[in-house]
Amino acid sequence: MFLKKVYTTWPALFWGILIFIGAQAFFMYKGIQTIPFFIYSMFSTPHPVQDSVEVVLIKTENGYISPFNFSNREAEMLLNNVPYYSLLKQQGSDITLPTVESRFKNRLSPPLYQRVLQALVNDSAAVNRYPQWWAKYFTSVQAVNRGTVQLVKSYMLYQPALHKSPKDSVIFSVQLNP
Amino acid sequence: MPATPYYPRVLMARVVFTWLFLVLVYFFANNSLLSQLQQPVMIYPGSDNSFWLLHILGIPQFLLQQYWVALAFDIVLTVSCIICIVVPEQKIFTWMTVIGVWLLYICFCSAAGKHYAQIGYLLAPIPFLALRQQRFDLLWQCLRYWVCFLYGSAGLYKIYYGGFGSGHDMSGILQVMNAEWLVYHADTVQASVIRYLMNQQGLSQGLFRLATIVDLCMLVGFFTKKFDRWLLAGLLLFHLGNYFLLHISFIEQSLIFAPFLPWQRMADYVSVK
Repeated sequence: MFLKKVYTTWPALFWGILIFIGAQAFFMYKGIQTIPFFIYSMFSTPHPVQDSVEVVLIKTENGYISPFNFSNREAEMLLNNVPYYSLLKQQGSDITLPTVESRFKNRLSPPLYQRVLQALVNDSAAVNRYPQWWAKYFTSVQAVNRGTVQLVKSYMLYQPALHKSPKDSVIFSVQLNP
Repeated sequence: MPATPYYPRVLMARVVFTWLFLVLVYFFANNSLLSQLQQPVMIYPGSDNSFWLLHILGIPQFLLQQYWVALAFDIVLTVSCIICIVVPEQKIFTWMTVIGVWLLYICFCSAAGKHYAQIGYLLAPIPFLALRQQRFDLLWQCLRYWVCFLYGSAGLYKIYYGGFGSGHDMSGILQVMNAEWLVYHADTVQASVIRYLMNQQGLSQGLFRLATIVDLCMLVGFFTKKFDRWLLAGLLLFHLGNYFLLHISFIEQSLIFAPFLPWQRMADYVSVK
């Protein structure tokens, strides 16, 4: 048996494995991924068939840019953080804040708590600088580097046949290389 | 001759770190090394305790927000990886490479606002931290069990949370993952296949269940190595299917295949040559 072999040849690794298994079980029970204890539960809950799907699109003066013009990594950097930004703008405070408060408020000294807060929560200055950062990254990954670009929220409608909703709501608009 | 089968560490180090180097080149070509991210202003530690610890220590912010620091990090990581290819029997640069790729992962996820499951390039270099043959063998087997566990647990989660039992789960997933793609690539053969599967809920759910079974088959790896080539084929098909139907690239994840390769046969072949 593998564990028996590990115990006889490298006891430190044996105990390391046991601790790792215990920690993995704990974080799976809590449902909180804490790397390196990965939780591979993606696509495991039922996904209902929908009439429409919300999407974030990049709109330039010459029309929409397909996110598939970018590589996966570039598209992740350009589009995955936009809903997070949108939520921060809507709520006026970081969605991580309640978790930070529940874990640390009144348990740490006020200066230490402030330091933790600054390290984990985006302040309004960071949120306000986000569109400029986005424009910088966008111009670094593709050819469009002049004009105005909008990030818009829209819907893809599956009925009667797949088409894009004519209505866009602007998340932000940014001037490239002003 | 050793009493138990051993893994050819030097050959494996050269292959795995060359593979990792190519992943880093892919990151560079796709503007996703730290110095290419244009100093992101927002962070997303999520609820991951390890991310929290590193963010409280200010490490991702330090690496992400200063160009020269990020550039130095990228250079050190890439050079360390190359040294691991050229000189496999050392520890210092292996440690630097392992720590480097984990930090790169955390910084990228924090800036991108999502914690990704593409982790093959994080796991495969770890066993090379051991120099002694026997210890390396044990760590490599641990890596193999870890990969079996990750995919096996993914299968169990799909049953536990109800995706497997649902009658239309895959159609819903295809809708979400292809909403934009179908608009921009409406006339391709691939789009026709995806649209057909969306409408044929029974067939698409059959594929989802097949994928779940492939996940669960990885649990066989806990009991025998006899079927490793089949597990490897299953993993490859699983990821090709994900790529074709859901557009999930698996270049970063591809190193997860390494524990199932026939290393001893490859070493024999190289030594005969």
